[in-house]
Amino acid sequence: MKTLFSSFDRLRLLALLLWTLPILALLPLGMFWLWQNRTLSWWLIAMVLCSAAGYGLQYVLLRRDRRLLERTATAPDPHWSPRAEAAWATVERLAEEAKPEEWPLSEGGKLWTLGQQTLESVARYYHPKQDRPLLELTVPHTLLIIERASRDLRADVTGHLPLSHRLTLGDLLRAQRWKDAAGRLLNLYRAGRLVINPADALLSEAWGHLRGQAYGAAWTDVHRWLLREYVRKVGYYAIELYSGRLTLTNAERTADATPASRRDLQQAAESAAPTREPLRIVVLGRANAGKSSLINALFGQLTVATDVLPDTTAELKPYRLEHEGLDTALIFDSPGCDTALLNDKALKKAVLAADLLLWVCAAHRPDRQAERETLDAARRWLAARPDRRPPPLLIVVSHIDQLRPPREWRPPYDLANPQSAKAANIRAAVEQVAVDLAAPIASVIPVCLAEGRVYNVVDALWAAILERQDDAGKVRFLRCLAQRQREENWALLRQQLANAGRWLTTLPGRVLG
Amino acid sequence: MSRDANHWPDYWRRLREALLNPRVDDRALEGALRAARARQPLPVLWLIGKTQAGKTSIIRALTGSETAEIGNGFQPCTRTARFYDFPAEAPVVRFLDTRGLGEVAYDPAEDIHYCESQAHLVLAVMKAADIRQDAVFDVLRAVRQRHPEWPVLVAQTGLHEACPPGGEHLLPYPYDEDPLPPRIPTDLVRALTAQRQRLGKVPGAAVRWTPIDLTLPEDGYEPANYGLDALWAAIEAVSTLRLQALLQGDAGIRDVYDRAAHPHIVGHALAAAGVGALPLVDMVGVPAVQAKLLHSLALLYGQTWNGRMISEFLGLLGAGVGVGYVARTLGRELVKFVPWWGQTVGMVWGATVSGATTYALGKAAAYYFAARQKGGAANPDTLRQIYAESLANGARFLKNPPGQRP
Repeated sequence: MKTLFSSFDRLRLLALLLWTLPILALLPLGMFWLWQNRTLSWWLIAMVLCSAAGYGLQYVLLRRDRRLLERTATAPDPHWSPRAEAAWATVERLAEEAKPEEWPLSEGGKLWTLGQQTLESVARYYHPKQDRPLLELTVPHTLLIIERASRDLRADVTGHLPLSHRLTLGDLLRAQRWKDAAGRLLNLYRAGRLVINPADALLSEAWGHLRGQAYGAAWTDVHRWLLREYVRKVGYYAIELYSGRLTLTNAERTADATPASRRDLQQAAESAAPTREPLRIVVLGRANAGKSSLINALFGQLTVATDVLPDTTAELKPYRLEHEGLDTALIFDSPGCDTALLNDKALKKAVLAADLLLWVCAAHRPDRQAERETLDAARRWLAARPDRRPPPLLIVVSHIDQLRPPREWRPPYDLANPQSAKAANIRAAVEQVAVDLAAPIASVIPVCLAEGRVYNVVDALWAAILERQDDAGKVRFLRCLAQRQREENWALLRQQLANAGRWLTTLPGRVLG
Repeated sequence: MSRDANHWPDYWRRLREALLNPRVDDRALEGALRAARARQPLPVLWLIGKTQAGKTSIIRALTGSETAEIGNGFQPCTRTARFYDFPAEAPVVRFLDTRGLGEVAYDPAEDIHYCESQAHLVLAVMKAADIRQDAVFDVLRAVRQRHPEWPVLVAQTGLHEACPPGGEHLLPYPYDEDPLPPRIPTDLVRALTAQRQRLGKVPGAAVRWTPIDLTLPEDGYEPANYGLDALWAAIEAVSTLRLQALLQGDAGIRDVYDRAAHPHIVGHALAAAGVGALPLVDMVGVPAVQAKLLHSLALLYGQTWNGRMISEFLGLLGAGVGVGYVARTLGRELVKFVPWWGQTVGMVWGATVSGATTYALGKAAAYYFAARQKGGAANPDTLRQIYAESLANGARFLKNPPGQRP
């Protein structure tokens, strides 16, 4: 304060005072005039009203700011695995518990402790058996968390705090100190005013109190928001890291096809190879269930060979499927899962690399025990991998035209209110398949795939596939991520080995030289 | 000769008593029937096939009983199999159904052992369109590995599933021609052939394949039991069970009621033969068994016995068919007799008399009911002639009863 005043010349100050005196004199003179015309009370009323309106407006603005801040809270990634979502709940709890009074911004050390606590709680979630889970982080990855959290926080602060691009950390700290000093000066001013004009002073005292409160509230809000965002950002990237989603390269994860898919895409022999990772739809089921017929029905044209004899399809083979509303997809035709053509290893590989499973089940073959065992094995393989989402499963019930009465085929059939014996039998078959294969009835779609009798594929089956596209997309995301990670590990290892090799090749020279 | 022959007039009296008061000892009677039946093991038709391959349809077509009745009539016997005895109260044949084939790892050893003790026919059932039948084929190979001499028949069912939509059954039945004629849809021929090739060569005689399509009348295929005659022919060709004689009687019997009555008569005759050879069940006795048969037949023909009807029936029968006649007829048959269960000749005599008279009585009653059903009166001469013929037939039949290993 003193330095501020002393930096000015006293005469210069006097000049400034003389300059402004006529204008300052207007206030008492005007008051005197109002008093003389007996309209002072009207003016006072107007002032009270204006103050109230102003206060109201400020309150509204404050509420809006608060909402804006709340809305910019970091949210969990929708692609996260269920395990990561559980870890996020821990982070949210920590964020809610952060109180501005416990973590003042002026103390950097305390803030560091808060970040460390967040990291540790996430680390403990992922490595419950480790004594010091924080040590499970590699150095480049820790740096990456800090980098990512800081980058995001910067973006949020720039985007949501007014004038923040001119704000320095010093400003923030000074603002707090100024608040105290200004408070002291204000008290002096208030006391003087009370002596000169008690009524006016009382009013302005009330107004000032309200304004001060509003200012204080806004400040605490920003403070709390900063703390929570800090916890959330650190938590977010810690989860990304521990769940293995954070890779050291910055590329988008589904932008490029994985090598396997790239090969399959080439094999699909289409002129323009898509650059985006396709959805991988795998068609499974017993021999002669109608897997190849299903693919023909989905394409709407003869694409795959089908026959009355089993084992027409000898290997897992991709086809490129395009449909309105569906991402580019690779659909895999497979040999019967009850044949030697598809062994457990190939089946497991296909299931684990699938984004959507279509299980074809013949309505007129009720011995489904073996089918159920295969399906349960697939479910076990998928469940053994909690860091990935299981692909959605659709059960396609084929051959419904063979159900009793076998000679009747007059679609459409209303399965909700079966009017004929055929419709009732189709419905019973659907219910039985749902029980036999332990699948929710909503995911069981009855279709007819026989030549010239294709039914329920365009409306029901396609609708069901499109409905599950979002889920399949999430599965694809995590699949690409896992692939990228494997690649990165190999690439790094290769590079490190290569560097070591270089060093070794120079070694003899060094020793000899 | 046995005392039974000396008390022949008594016999009519006791039968009359048993007929008028049929519920004297129902439970004891059933127990006795079971005990008697157990002396002669039932011939077994061993059905091997996946769920809904058409096993029940085959039982339905062979016996003429209702599907639901068959479903309820199954009883467990081994860990992996259940049986259906037909007719239930006096069975002539046992259908053995292997459960859960292809669903759990099935070991046929126990069922093979079960069949070793009695005459049988192995009948594999598979849908023609369901070509992958490894589970069934494995059992057939295991069976023939152990018993290359056992008769094995494979029924390929559900022909319509492999035919183009809207197709009709081919008449006359072309599937017994070799090679299969070009009239049959190509895909069906390929499916049938593929299935046969998949089984390959098995030890022992070649397996006989019979394509059939047993549908329900409401399914709209004509005839509903397509290929049933071919199946009967195949059964008679590969086995010595004389299953058709047990279940349908002579080829001459065409009447639905007579066909239905036949297995009941055979079953009771076999039971009566057993009762006659059992010293223990004198209290129940042959007349009780015969009375039960006559009541069962009345039920089949939709009639009820009353005092007047019994008197009329026995009156028509009794006068001409005296004790001497029975003794003479059976005596002639018994000259050529070789004892088949190691009992005394007297026992055998008693058993054959009981069995043959039961058989003849049943056939005569069937004629009597049929005549009443048509509203006419039974001709006493025809009745007696039927009785006489049936007596001889029954004795022949019982001399070498089915169910014994030939």
